[in-house]
Amino acid sequence: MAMMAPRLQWRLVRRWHRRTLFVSVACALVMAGLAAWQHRLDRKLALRQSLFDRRTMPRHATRRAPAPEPLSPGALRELQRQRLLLVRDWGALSARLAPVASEEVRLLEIEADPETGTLRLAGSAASALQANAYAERMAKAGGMLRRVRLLGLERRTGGVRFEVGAQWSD
Amino acid sequence: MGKKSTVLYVATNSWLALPGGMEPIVGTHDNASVADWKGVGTMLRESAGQSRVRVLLSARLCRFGVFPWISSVAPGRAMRAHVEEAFAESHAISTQSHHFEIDWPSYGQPVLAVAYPRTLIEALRDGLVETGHVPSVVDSSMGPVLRRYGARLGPEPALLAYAEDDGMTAVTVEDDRVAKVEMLADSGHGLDELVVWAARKRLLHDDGGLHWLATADKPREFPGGIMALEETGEAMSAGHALSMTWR
Repeated sequence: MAMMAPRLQWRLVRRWHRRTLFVSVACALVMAGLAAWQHRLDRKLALRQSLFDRRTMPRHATRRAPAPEPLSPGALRELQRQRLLLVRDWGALSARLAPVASEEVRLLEIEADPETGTLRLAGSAASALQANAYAERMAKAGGMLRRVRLLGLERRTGGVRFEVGAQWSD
Repeated sequence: MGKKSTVLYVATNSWLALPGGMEPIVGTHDNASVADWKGVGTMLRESAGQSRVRVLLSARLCRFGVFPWISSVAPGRAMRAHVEEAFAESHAISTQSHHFEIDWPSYGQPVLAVAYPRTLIEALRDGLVETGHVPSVVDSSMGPVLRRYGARLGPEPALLAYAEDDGMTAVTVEDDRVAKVEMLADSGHGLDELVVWAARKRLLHDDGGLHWLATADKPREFPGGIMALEETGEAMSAGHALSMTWR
């Protein structure tokens, strides 16, 4: 007969009960199995995800590319102006405009319209003769500067202010 | 190499250490909770070396409860709370003073629980640990007795009484489960006087259901039959005999 064997002991030292040990080992095995299974599923999922991404990415890319909005005429004009600004040979122009050492001329302002090629220079010189000689040298050099004109002379204290206009084509 | 196993039986005013294969060592104290357990540990170490000590408390030092099953407190935590509440009501003790161990019942069965005095166990543990012993487990005298002799009681309700070093313990068994645990002093009064108590038990059980486990001589007033101990050696006291039942 299975008479009661009361388990009323106060265990001061933790001891592995055989059943507890069995349950723990079983739990550990189950957990290890689940972890392996999860790892396998994760790998499968990652593989499928990469395949999916590979197949869908070009379509997504095409689809996601924003349709270019048509530019307004004003914007197109500005775009063209900017393009022309960029493609001009500013280095060559600067070399041509820079006064030579013998000239007592200082450039104060340059305005260039890249679309039309119109160029306007403002500068100061010791005398009207020197300003004229600067404009003359530019006109004789030819090349990228055409229709060079001395547009104005204005006497100021210590010299003259002059303005030169030209057509820039490179 | 593992340590030797020693049973340390502690009663209200005495203790007995039973190192494996050696003669018992005995001593007395006024109050078990403040006894010199370190001295006991030292004595035990000097005579038997360091050992793994299993503590056996006399039933009188513990508190027992058999509480009704309540279906609504089936989860473990609720059951424990139920037992704590029942102990507080029936014995006015709490988890602060006692450690409760529950013999987890089958569904619908009464809940048997025992309360071990914390102060005593902690004093014992400290004293033994300081002297190099390993206190491993605490049990009441009822545990080894029922595990060893409970199967002899038969299917009918029965009462198994046995002497301890500090009185007498009687365990009532019904349906193969403990129904009641009682302690009687040698000199009880009123309803607890042995003659009166035995007469009352005789009304509840047939003579065939009353058993005296021979840890000591059967009192003349006890009407039941004698259940002999399996050990053949001579026991120097009831506590010694009980210690030997815990193999």
